[in-house]
Amino acid sequence: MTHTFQVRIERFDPTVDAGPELRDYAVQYHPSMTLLEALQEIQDRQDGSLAFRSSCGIAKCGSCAVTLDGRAVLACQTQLDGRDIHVGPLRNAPLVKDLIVDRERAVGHQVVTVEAEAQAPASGVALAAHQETAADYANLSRCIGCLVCDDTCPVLSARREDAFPGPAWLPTSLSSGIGVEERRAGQAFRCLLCGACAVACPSGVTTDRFLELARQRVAERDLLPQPLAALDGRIEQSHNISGEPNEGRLLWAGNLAHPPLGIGRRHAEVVYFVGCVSSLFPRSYSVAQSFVQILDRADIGYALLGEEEWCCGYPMAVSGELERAREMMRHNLEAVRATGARYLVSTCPSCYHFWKHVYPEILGEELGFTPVHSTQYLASLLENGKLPLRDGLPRQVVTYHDPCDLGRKGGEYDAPRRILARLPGVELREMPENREHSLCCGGGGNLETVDAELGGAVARTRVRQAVDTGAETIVSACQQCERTLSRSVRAERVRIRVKDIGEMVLDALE
Amino acid sequence: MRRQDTDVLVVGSGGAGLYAAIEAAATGAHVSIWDKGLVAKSGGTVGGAGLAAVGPWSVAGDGTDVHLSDTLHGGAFLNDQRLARILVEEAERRVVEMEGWGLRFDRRPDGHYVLDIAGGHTFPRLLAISDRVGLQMSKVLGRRLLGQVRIEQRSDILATRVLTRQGRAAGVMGIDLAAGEVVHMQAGAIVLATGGVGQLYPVTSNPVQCTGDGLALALGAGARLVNMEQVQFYPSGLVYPPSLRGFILGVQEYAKLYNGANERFMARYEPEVLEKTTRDRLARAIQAEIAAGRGSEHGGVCLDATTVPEETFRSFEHEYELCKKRGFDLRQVRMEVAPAAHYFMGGVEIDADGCSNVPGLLAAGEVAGGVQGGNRLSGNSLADIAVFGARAGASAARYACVAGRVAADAEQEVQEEARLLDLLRRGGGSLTAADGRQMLRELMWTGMGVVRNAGGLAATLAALDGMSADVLPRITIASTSLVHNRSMAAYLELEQMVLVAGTMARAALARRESRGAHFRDDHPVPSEAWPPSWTVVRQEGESLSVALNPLTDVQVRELSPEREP
Repeated sequence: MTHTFQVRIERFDPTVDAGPELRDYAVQYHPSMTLLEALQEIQDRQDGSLAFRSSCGIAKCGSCAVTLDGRAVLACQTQLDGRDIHVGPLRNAPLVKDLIVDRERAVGHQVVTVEAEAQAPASGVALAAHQETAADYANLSRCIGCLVCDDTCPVLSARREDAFPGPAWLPTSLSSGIGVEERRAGQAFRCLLCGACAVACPSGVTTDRFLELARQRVAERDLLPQPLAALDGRIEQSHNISGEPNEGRLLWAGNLAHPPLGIGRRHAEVVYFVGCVSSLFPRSYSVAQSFVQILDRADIGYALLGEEEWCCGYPMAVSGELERAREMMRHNLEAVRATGARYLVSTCPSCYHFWKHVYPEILGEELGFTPVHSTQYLASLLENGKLPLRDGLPRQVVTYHDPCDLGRKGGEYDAPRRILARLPGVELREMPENREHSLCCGGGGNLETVDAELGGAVARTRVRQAVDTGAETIVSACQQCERTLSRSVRAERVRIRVKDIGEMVLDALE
Repeated sequence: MRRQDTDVLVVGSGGAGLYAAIEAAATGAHVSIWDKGLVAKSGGTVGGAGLAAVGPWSVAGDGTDVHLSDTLHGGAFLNDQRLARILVEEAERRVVEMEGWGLRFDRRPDGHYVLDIAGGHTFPRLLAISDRVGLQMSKVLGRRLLGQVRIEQRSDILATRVLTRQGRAAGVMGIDLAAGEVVHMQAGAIVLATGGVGQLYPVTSNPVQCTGDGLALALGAGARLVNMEQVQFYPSGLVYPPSLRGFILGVQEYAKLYNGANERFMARYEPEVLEKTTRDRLARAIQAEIAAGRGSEHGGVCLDATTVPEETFRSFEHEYELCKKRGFDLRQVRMEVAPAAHYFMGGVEIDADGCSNVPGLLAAGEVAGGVQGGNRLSGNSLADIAVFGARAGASAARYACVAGRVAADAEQEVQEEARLLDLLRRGGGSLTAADGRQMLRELMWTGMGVVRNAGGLAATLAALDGMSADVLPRITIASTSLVHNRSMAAYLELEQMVLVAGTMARAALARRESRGAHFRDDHPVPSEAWPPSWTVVRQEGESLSVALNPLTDVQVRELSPEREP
């Protein structure tokens, strides 16, 4: 089976062109054809002036990174399926010619790291490959320095390169034998920990892990940025992120017509773990309020822990102080167990991810109940007919933003979409950057505590992507994403709404 | 044109080039390192699997004498024995040095190095980092160049000519594809570290940059090239799918081979050891099967690794994953393979310090000849580039310090600049460089492949002359700007490839015996003369001279045939 397909390439000759121009080439397709093969074919037989890089052809040299339909990939490893494609250079590096970019920024960060290492006394090195575990070294050694991760990074894409070296910096430096001294390691606090780099990596490097490790090392040396040290102190003191008395944990429930039935219940099959943001930040109350109203309408026997709900510990882990969260995790576990619950449902993806993936590992035991995200729970309720929906709802065009902790970290992309598919009148228009390619909202990694403006720059990019779909509403499933995106929408005065998926469901109930 | 000067210019930045630059800079010399691709990312080093070295970690009974003996037997005693001895004795030092720089070899739970066995080695002695020793080496060595004021790294410069003055190397000219100009670098000493010649063949494991440039440069400067007929064909390079063509499967060491008739054909060629024979014997057997019409669907034979234990596959992680992503699970299906041009044992004649016969011109790594003799053992190349890269760098710096810099013959500079600029203005022709490459590769595969003979070699030479006369002048140069002018670079590479191919065919014609990787079906056995001879090719005026020179300084003698691996 052969047919031709179109390869549209962004061409740019700095000696004659003002800017990139698009040129189309027809290429004969065959199964297992790679992007590099297609480019070579064009250069060999159609246009010898096309400039691109390649060397080994087997994912060892990292030379051939380009963007395919907007996404950074290794050309030699990317198999085509016969559809027309659009090929361009990497975006987060200065363009030189056609598909060739200048890599000096990334190299420059390594040089700075080398120089910082030279200044540090032996104990001042926070991370060094030879000191890491064999497993971590084995993972680091996979890095080929292709810069695909840098191109995928939302922080670098927000064009604040001066602030953050980018994800490639750590694995390339460490695997080259450069020791990262502690102050330099602090650059890792400008990462969103969104995990997009690890998903994009063609060599299987768990880049985000090394960024987390850098934070841990900095925290161990008492060098946490002051705002983060303060945050962790607050959490330890008040058992929540705001520093307000934890007795006020149910204030959000105060404005409702009927008090949530889960308050005061000592035993229930389901515990609704609200999370700090929805509990204590008024702009986010609506997430919790919507959810309990749905649960009450569906007659679900659930319990709210009230002041016995302490911060899940995730913000401390993100600051690099996972151990400090242990006491709170233990408390939370006992509090939930005391209810006899079989499910712990959370509207917060971060709490969900933390409960599901980190609690059992750190506490060294099975939970005895199953953590579930509210979207998984709602999808199930809808599919089991527990939530009758109204007819004749007005048409809404929405786009869905995958939260990092629910999607990439939590592995859940479908449940929210199954919900949206069932809501009458709702038309979903996906952003190209969806599911595991979702661009972080800018609210992750405790970045807003350290550099709110940087987070805002990332949010702007995401809002722009949403607006480009033509949708009137950005729907998400994370109160933090909703806060961050809303703030950006207001600041940019853009005509788009931000809604939580629980609110969408509530609005659609009979 | 841009003129620069430096103490030591290193051309090529694989392991040998990087190590040379590091060692030269360590003496205080100013060093420039050029690569026609991205520095530290454009050579065979990144693909290297393991490093053979004897040291305190070696198993009981192993020692440098054994490693030397293995290397000489593997090399069919064509090795320069002094160089081979240096290789095995100094590998330890470089291993320890690179470890100090952050290279971390795999260890067993008891703390001892994992040592892999490989064909031709009497004992397990290959250090490993999964199969990524080469990749890690290039990173760790590349890092040593960073933040050093005295080292200038330049990607995207294609060297086209070594200039001389009264027979001494004085500098190198080339095209700077990033800056878009011709460049002339005056240098006290020049180290060629440009790797091998795989890209002269249609199926090769080598990166696209391996077009033998350094050999052409050296030839043009008056250097002697030795054993240019010795091409190692790795028996099992993939022939399908096309995107993986030439990719070699290391797991072949543990796998079985079947021809198109599903026969385990090695039982006919090597009844006692079957597939566990030397690479050259395996390559000839596979080639014979294909030539006899018993090949697989796409012109290879079938490699079966389905019964290889999982633990063994861990040493072949990368190739397993690569094939798997392309839709081929090595543990479930057979793969079609054929001999791939993999390594080049011939090259610039060097002494123990990497010096060629041209003062000021050195060579290290795969571009240099003599260390590996007539065939290279697995793991010896990564050791070679470290040992001889370091030596050449140190020696280049010493030479530059003592001899200083000298201005090249002005006429040469004028000529080369004019030649390059004329080419740039050439414009459209009736052929492309890709056409020319394809022609050259077909020639080489047919006449200079796994099996050669006088008739085929003569035909190859005639065809190469034809290419010089009729094909090269008709090739299009697609752009008039030098900036990343891939078309110009491809043409210049092709010119060099034709030149190098000519030296290879002449050497093959001169060696009227079969020795090492060079096999002639019209002279199928090694000559009885002892010591063995080297073929030596040299540019003399307009023509090439070829001589056969017996090795001198031969201490270790060839043992009886029973000892042959």
